[in-house]
Amino acid sequence: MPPPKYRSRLELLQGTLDFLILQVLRAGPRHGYGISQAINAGSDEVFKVDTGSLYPALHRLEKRGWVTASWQTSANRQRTRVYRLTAAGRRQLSAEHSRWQQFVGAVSALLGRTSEV
Amino acid sequence: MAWWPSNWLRRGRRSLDRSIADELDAHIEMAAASFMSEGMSANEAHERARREFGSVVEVRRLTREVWRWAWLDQLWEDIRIGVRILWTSPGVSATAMLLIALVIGGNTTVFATVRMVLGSPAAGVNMDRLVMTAPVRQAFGEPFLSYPDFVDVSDGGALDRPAAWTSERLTISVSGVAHAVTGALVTGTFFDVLGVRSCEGRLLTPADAQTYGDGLVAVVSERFRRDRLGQESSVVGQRLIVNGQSATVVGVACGGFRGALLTPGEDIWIPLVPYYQAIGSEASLLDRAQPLVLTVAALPDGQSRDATQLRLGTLASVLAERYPDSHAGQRLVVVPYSATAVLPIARMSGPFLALLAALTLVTVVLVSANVANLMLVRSLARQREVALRQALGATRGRILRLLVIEGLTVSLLAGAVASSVAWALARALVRLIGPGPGGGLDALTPDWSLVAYAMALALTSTVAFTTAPALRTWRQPVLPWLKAGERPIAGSRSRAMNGLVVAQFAFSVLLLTSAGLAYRSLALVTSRDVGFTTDRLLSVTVRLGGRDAYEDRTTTPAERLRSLARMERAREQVLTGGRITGATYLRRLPGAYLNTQIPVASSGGHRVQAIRRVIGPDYLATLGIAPVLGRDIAASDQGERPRVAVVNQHLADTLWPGLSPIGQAILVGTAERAEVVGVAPNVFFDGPSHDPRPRYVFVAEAQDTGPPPIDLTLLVRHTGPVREAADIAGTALGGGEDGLPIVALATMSERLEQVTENERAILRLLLVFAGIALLVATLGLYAVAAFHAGRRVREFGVRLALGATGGDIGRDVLASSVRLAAGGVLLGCAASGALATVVGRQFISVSPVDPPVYLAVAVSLAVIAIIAALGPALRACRVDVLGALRQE
Repeated sequence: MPPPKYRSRLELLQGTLDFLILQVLRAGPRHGYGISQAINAGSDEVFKVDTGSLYPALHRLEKRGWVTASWQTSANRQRTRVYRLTAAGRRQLSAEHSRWQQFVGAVSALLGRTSEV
Repeated sequence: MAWWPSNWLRRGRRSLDRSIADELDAHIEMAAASFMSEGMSANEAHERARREFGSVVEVRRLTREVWRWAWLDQLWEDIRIGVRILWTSPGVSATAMLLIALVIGGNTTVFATVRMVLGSPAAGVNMDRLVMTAPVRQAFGEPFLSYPDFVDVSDGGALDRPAAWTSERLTISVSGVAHAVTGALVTGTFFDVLGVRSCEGRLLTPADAQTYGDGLVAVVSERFRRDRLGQESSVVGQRLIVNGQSATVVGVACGGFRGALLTPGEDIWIPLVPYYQAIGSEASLLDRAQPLVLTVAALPDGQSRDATQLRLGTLASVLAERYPDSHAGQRLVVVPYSATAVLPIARMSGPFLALLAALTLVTVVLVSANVANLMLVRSLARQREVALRQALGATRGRILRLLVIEGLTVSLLAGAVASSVAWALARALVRLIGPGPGGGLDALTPDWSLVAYAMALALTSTVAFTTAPALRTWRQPVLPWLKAGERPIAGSRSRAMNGLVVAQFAFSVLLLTSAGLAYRSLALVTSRDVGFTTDRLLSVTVRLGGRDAYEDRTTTPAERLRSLARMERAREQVLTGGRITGATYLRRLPGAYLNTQIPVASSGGHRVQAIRRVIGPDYLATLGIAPVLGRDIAASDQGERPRVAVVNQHLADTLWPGLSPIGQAILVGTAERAEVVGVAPNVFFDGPSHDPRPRYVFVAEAQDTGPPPIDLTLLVRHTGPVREAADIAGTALGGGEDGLPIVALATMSERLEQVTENERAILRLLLVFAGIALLVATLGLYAVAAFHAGRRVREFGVRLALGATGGDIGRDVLASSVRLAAGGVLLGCAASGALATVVGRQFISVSPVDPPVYLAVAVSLAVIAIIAALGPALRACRVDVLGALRQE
């Protein structure tokens, strides 16, 4: 039996992972593990990021020039690949942000109306 | 490997791979560190971190695919996987490859043969865009133009450097010895337009072709220089007598050039107009009604064949208008030049090639089906693997691509093998059906279009045989295959597969029994003792009529007597030479011709068919056999003496059973009456014969009143070396003012070889096709056996568990294969029995239903069936019982 918390986890919507990654990186550079932890914790463990989606997404963002990556050595001497938001990434994030707001607004309006029925 | 574009790509990919792998490792390490900080042990923490991470390989692959070169990269990887898979089951791969190589080879052979027979220029011809012009009335007839027509065609300007030639038998004397040689009378542009090169001296030019100044000039072939002039170099300036006219050699044509067409194989070229002036036949050059020359020309630059055809069409209608008697309804057609362009072989080879193409088509169908079966066997084995790949996230497209690449690898490798083998095969075939020695086919070389053709076939066959298994994979549900026990296989397929194997074996049997019958027949015939000693017998064939033989006219009785006297003198002269023990002359020698029979009757009214031979004196003595009764034909049996005949024992026994034939009157044909003076023993005078009891009647050449022979052959029994005998005979026949031109020279053994040449050719062809068919059938049986054994693994497991031994299982697999083969053999035997009684008369000495042949074929096919099924049977014996049972 999986723990109850596990059952309440949501699948990420298509395309939202990229947005979430950019959002996490706005707070500062992070490595892949750090990003997955941040999304986990930030969503109150509702979103569980699958590594099979996370790393392709990171590399996709890097390919598009929205993030850059560099190898760094952490405090406990672990070599990690650290991602950093670029200016283009920042612009993309704000665009995504306003689109997300529109999306949420539309969905809420829809839900509000249907709940009246 | 600097040319391989993925070199940089591979280096880039490697560093990317490493980077991604490091990054993912770091992820797991950090997760593990975090679990450890929660109090887990290092092992526990790492295990959990890995579990939560999922498949590292898959994440690595997905991440890598993000990058730009992923597509190319994947292709490269797929090819590697494809090759690796092929390597893991080398038996199946090699079988598939062999099958495809066979089918491509067969097809390419046909293609190459067609090209060689129909498309190639003659040896030594180095020009493109050549055309021949031929007159056509109703249908294609003789392709000769009259000389005035050729001049009009030339002057019309529709063609570039038009040349004309006419082949002619010429009598050429070299230092006193005359030879009969095929040559050609040519116009000045002949060598230029064909692009022939000279090895020595120069070739003919338009200037040579104008007039007959101080003697003729001649160009000879390399062969003529070697064989007749006996020299390897410097024959320029050599004097020859050509049909009584003095000629000077000015050069040697190179590159094996023996004329523009494959036959007749010319050895000397002389300017046309001067030659006709020299022999005083200029009138034939002016006769518009006399077809005389063949033509070849280049198409003018930038002018198509259609445009040329149009212009010549106009010319033809002008000619038809001007000379209605000879040219009404005559068109002029332009055909592309090749060494066989206007020869009958171009038409004769059609049916042969059609037959070959049909056979090849049958093999294509059979082979494609077999390979599809093999691929199905493999896909059966791999369905689990494919399902696993799908479960791990490989898309269906990717799996399909993997399968196609696998097939492509097989067929491209096979194509490469096949195209090289096919070339050799095609050459052998062309030699088999070709016009025999003397043709220019030996100088043909492979070309790239052949290889391209083979490769195109390889690609087509890939599509043909990977589609079915690949689509099967496409449709297959993933889940059942991940479970252990399920093995859903289409059951209906196996009946079709079995039918295919039976049909293939039947086909092989048909070909094998035919080959067997041909072989038995040939062996019987050649092992037959001809009855006389065949070695140290030399034959020298000469043309009668001497120097004037080229003239097409009937020999007068006086001339005939003169020629015979000359022949008799040569015979006597030869006999005075050392180490010559016998000499005679005769009209026909054993060789590749039919022995036509004529009716022969005794005075008592008995009438039978017999072979009539006209011979010179001492024929039997020269062959080294003594008459059974009476005497040989002697030199004294001349025209005014009573006509005599010698018969062989078979004929004597038929015409005068129980009587002495000596002194009996015999009627040969309808009018020739003679007295039998001798009986010859029953030997095979014409070499090994299908008729075991040939009947012969021999009459004297000096007493013959029928049409005179064109050639006579001097037969010499010698004890010294053949070279010495040839010199003696050559001098005796060809020497002196009235020397007879020598046409051919051969030993009796060589002549006898030719008797069975046709049978040998048929046997070779049959053996080749039977071998291919058998190989294909065997591989097909292997595929089916492997398929069935693979399907029945579970059943075998159960039976083994219930106490069956491995031997039982193996025997079972073998038996089912042998049953299939036996079905095929029975069917094939029935078919060939039926067919052989219809066409089996080719092999007269053997009954069409020759038990040894059928028995040998049946036994060898049974052995082959067992061998084909041995591998699958052995694998079936070693089925892992537990593994098989667990599948339940």
